[in-house]
Amino acid sequence: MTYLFHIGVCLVLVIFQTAVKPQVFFLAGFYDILTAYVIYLGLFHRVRDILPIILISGLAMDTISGGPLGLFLTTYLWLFLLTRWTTRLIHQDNLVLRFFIVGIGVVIQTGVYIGTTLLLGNATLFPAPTLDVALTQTLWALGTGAILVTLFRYLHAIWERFLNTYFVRESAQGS
Amino acid sequence: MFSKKTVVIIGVFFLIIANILILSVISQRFPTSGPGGFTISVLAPFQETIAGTSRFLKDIWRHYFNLVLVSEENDQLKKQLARAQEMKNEWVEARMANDRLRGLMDIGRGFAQELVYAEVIGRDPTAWFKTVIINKGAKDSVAPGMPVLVPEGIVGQVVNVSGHYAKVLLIVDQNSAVDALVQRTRARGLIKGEFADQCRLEFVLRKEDVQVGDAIVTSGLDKVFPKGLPVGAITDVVAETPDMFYTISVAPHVDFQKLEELLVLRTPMDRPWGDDE
Repeated sequence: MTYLFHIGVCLVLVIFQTAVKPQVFFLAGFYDILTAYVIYLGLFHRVRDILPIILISGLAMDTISGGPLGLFLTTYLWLFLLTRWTTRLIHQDNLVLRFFIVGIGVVIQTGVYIGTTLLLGNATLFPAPTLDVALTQTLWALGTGAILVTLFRYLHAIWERFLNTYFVRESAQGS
Repeated sequence: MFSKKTVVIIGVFFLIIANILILSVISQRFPTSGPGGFTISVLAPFQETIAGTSRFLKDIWRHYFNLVLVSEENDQLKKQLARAQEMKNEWVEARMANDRLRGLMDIGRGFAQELVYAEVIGRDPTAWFKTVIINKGAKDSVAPGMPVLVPEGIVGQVVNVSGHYAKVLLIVDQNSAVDALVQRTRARGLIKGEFADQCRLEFVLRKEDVQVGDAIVTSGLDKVFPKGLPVGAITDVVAETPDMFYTISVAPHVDFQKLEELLVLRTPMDRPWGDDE
């Protein structure tokens, strides 16, 4: 059931990013929201529980996007593992961590994208528009990352409560 | 001499006559001062106050009802205005869609191949890559490698296809490359995608005559796009580098932010464009 929730959220986020976000002019420079979700998963969930979700969402994004195949999958996996590793050093409820982690994640993601593009020989090194986009996305991430992570956690808590009250009661009645 | 009854009748008659005479005399000389004037001056302020209050209350009452009526009328007019606005928007949208579709039809007449009309239903989830998802796929005979156009010029090419959908790589994506010509001088180069919906024309030798404003068209040699389709116009030419090629910036004719409808050109795989030339 938890898988269902995570897959549902990933689906909603992908649809939002591809169909809704392009229509909203002020969200043009917004970062990949799935990055925030992957970081949330890394902060509050175990590797073995979440790995399939990361694989599915990464592949979904790779399929939809025009980037080289496997780019999103790789990025999400690394971000997830880095976040897991960070939680060993800093507690996941640390406010400073919560504030900065999505911003840092977006910077890493941007670095991977630019690196890949350069590696493939398809771009000149850091033209001004690239830096503009990178900076805008990082600022958005710093401004909204913590809020999104908190929101994801809150939504998951609601889902868990719903499952506990509905399914646990049903199974208790059944037994 | 007279009976009592006759005396009463005559007395009443005279009283009536006297009364008429008195009334006629008094009415001709209406007193404007004295006790009459005093009475008026005492009563009039009260009358005025009462009359004023009464008028005020009547006005309030009347205005209240008027306001209620005006408010209702206002609500109705607002609804009518909203409906009219909605209809106007629909009409404007329909007219714009009509113009766009007419343009697509016009471009379609220029090709012997079958054109598939498609709508953009999604865009790339990140700002780093430039693709769109269209609502036509393998079931509509759309296949990878097919060129995608709009009346203004080329848009890109189909790179992935599913049953009813396809992914189109736009020419402004950094992974895109289109063989192109400078229309005026026929200098050949490769249109590659750049950031911010711009392109650059690569591999144009510095011996070629290339100027800002020159139109760029497809060469047909990449076996994807038919020859002579508009791509864009040169916005900058840099020759100061030690390279043997120019650094040329190109602004595409197509506004990729406003892509809504487009055409996929069904090209037979066994008859590539280059062979037709």
